[in-house]
Amino acid sequence: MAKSTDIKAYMDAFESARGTLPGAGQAWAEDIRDEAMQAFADLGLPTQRLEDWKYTSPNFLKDVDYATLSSGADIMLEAEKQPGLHILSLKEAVAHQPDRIQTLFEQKIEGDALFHLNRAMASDGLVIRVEKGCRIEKPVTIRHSATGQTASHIHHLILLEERSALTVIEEFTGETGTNWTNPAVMVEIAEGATLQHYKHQNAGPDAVHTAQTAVRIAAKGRYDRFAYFTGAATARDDVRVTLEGKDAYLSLKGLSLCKKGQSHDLITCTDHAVADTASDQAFRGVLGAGAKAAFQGKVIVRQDAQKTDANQSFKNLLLDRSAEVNTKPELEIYADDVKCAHGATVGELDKHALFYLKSRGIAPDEARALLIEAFITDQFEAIMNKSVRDNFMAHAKAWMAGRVNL
Amino acid sequence: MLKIENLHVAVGGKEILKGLDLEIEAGSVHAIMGPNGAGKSTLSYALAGRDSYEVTAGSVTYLGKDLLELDPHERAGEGLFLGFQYPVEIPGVSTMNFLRTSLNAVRRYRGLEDMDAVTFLRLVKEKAAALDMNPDMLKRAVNVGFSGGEKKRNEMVQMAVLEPTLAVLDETDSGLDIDALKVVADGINALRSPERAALLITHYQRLLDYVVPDFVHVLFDGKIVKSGGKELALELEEKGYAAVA
Amino acid sequence: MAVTAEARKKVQDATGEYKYGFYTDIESDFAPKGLNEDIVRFISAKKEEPVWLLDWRLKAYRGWLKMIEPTWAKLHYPPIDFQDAYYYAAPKKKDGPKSLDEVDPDLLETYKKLGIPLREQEVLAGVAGAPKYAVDAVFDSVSVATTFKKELKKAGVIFMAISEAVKEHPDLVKKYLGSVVPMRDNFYSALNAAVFSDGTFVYIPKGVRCPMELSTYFRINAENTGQFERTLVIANEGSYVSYLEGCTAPMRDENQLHAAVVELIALDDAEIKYSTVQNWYPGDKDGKGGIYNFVTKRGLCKGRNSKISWTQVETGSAITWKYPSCVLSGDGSIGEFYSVAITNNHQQADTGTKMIHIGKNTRSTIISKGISAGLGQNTYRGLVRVLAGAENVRNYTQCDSLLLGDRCGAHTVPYIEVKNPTAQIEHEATTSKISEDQLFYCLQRGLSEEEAVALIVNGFCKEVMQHLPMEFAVEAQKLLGISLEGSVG
Repeated sequence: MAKSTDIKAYMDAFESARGTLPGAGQAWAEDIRDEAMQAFADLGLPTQRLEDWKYTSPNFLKDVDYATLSSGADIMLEAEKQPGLHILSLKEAVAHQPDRIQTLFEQKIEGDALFHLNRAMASDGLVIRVEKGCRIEKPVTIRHSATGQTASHIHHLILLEERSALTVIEEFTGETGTNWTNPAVMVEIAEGATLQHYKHQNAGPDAVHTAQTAVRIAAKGRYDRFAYFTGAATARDDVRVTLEGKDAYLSLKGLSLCKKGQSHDLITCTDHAVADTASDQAFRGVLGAGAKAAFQGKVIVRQDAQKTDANQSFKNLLLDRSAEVNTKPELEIYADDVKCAHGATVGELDKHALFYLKSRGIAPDEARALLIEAFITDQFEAIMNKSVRDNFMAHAKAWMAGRVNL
Repeated sequence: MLKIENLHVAVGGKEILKGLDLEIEAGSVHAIMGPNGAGKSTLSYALAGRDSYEVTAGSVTYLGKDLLELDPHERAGEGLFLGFQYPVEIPGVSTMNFLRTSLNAVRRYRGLEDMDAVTFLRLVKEKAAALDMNPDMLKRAVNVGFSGGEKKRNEMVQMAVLEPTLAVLDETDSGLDIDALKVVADGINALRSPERAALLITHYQRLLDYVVPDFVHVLFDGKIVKSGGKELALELEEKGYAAVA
Repeated sequence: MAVTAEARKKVQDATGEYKYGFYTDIESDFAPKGLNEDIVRFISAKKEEPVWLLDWRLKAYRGWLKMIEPTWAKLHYPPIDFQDAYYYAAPKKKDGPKSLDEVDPDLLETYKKLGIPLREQEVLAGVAGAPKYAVDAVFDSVSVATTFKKELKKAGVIFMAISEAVKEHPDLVKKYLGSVVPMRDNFYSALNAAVFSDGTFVYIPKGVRCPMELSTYFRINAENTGQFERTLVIANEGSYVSYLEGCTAPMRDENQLHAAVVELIALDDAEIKYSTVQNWYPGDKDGKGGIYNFVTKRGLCKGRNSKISWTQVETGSAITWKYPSCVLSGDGSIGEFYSVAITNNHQQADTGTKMIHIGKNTRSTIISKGISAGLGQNTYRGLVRVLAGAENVRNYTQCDSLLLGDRCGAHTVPYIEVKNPTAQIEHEATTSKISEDQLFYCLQRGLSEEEAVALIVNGFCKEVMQHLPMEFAVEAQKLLGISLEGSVG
């Protein structure tokens, strides 16, 4: 079954699929796809020599002939009709509102081959727009499920106009089967708008998940993201945010619960492009036997970005001697009047705390479970939406209960 | 010794001092009292030459010199000492080293030789003892991890070592318990002499129970609105600023 | 805050600009320009080396040819033409000095100007009770003098030029050379292995506490010449040594290459303290000239409970690429890295450390202080790696950056890789500037702006400076002030 694949196979797959993709026959959309495919071909498949792929082996791309696989991901949308909220499928949007989405669709993440592949091959996706001043109360939930041996390139565009607000929940689930989901989400947050974005990656046990998210935040805009990673054999979450206006605020949080045979790699790049912006990042990992996780966060403070306030924190709990965690909190600072700090810790459960609990009569396993739960609960505090928080917590408890060797 | 005429000072484009006049003779102790926002700290920073405090009009003559022409460290060299309301922490620099560096900088400004290490050590120990400061504190980094009272006491030790001609003490009494307040008062009183003067900037009159001023001024909305003897402080305490001003 | 020209002048007089930028006009032997196998053979022949060492060099050279220059560091400089340099320059000697008295007086004068005591009697005539320093002086490609050899010999300590050690202690050199930094470890270590011309060899026997500080003083003098020295320090069981190195070079418009390799080996219970004050010519304020400093330094804590401690104050060089590292292979061994790196004007530094935890109960501490001024770019790059078998590892890392001015950069790139759950790894980093409050507080106490900045910066660096031997610390403190010259105002 393992068969090596190359760029040519992807290009052939693209040529045979292009007639069926959204925007087929529309010159501007075709141009974007051509350019994207060319960029993918120029960059080639990622290798571990790339700094961004240091901690995830991209060999999975060679093990399965993903290029020729049909798209098998289903998108289910759960959203109530609310004034000011407009949701179209990518196909509808490209056909009916090209002027609205063209600029968003044109946006690219430079140097990221899988993003270009996504953009070239994008077969489906949602275009979500919130009108100026509309604060949408009920969250929009997008459920993705993948089955069998499939490859999917879903492309979502989210556009929040001035002073609007929205909550988006992304969920990825799947059955067994070596399916590959390679989604991209492009977000634009206009002045004073607020987006809460929650993601639960709970793909199937053999799945590969490589996601790219690119966000631009205008003045006084706010983006809160929480990525909860529990699924897939190999998962990467690559988030790039640019704070483009004064008083823009970013909160990037995440938790990985990682068990045997899994590899989670959470990557962020935060670009403080102008003065008076703030970002707060906190990621945690709980790693069981045979698990491998990586957290790489880069913060760039440009020369003009005075008064930047940026914080980064990475905390990891290793539950077994066969677990491996890699962390790289990176700062690149070109402005002097800034407050930038990062911290990272790696360790096992606090022996003193464990002893304390045991001395109060709590059985060792229970004491361990209590401390792990505390570590997780603490991280979920960052989630502002209560029902999301409760759902994630319930899931985390089930995850813990299912782990014998906590 | 000090003559302030029609002083206007703006901070960030906003005028805070709006034509302040004040004259201080050698040998005297003046107190300036006033409500929050009257411009008390602005006056002390403007006298010491802080960057963001822009003098837009008026003059300040100190010992016959145009004070406003001098850089902050030159003003210090001329014997002007500012006791900070919030003394600043300088990590890694021991208090002892800081004191020696600043004493020698001031001595050099005056054309004197650096003080030798032995004499300096004796001097500092003596001053610290007089102000009841634990000598171990001198080994710690400047103000780092000091309590509010310890920071103020440290200001007094520095003042004692530098022996300024004019001491401007900005709310040196705020946040002090009664013991610390007495120490601060002792420090100020110890420096009283016919050649020196002090300007106490304070919110409350309780410091003035221990350091009896020759003159009390009321600062209100950027101007001195009333001046008098020490009894004015009591009147202020009783009736409030609004009534007096 | 404006600083008067007069005040600036005063500070300049007190501190001076780059003090060591002079050139000694001395007749030298050069190898022909460029690099090829013949040059490697030429150097080996000049050194009258045994065949095994020539073979070793040639193997390194052939390996180097296939290697490419690393580009991952945050450093920008035009491509280096490795054929446009001399790989060997040595002061011409008549018969070779038998004793210090026979050393060329011009050389003695040079070192005197640099403040390096090469005459033992001068050292001895110094202040009573002052610690003694033994010095190995490396001038361009060769060691020109080594002091206190006799006294050290009495203690069993071997302290000599590595070229001499090849002849006198071939077994030791053969056993350890390249054992910590393999010849093809990286591009620059391979280059060094091919053309290294001299350096210092230190061996401390079992149980000996080295009776004095050992130091090597590196001087680049000749034009268009690279310096490739190799230092090898071996501390046998239960021994202790403190070793210092200092570096200077003349001011020149062209860039000069320095690619050194330092290997340290600490056996059971041994401790090596290695301190560096690197003050190569940094180039002028417009970024013209300066040394390209590509150095591979690595210590192997081979024995149980051994300890290697690196302390570095990096103020010089146009480009610094340097990661003094510890391989903690002995159980209970300790690695430390204390670093101050200053980049002013156009200087760029990409420096840090690697702590590789292999043994059980190994500990490491990393304290890095980066100061950027002018257009300087300063990167801390570090790796803490815990292997699966390394139980109970502890690491604490602290990286602080100070920015003076709004056109410089401070970057932190820490890698933390952990494969054992019993590890406790902590990493903290901060970036700040000198607060206006701090500056004003100092000015109000009578300090000029330069003095205030120097004082605050020294405070910022204190946790590192206190690990330097006393005499070095005083020198290094002054150097901080000089390096930041012109960065305020």
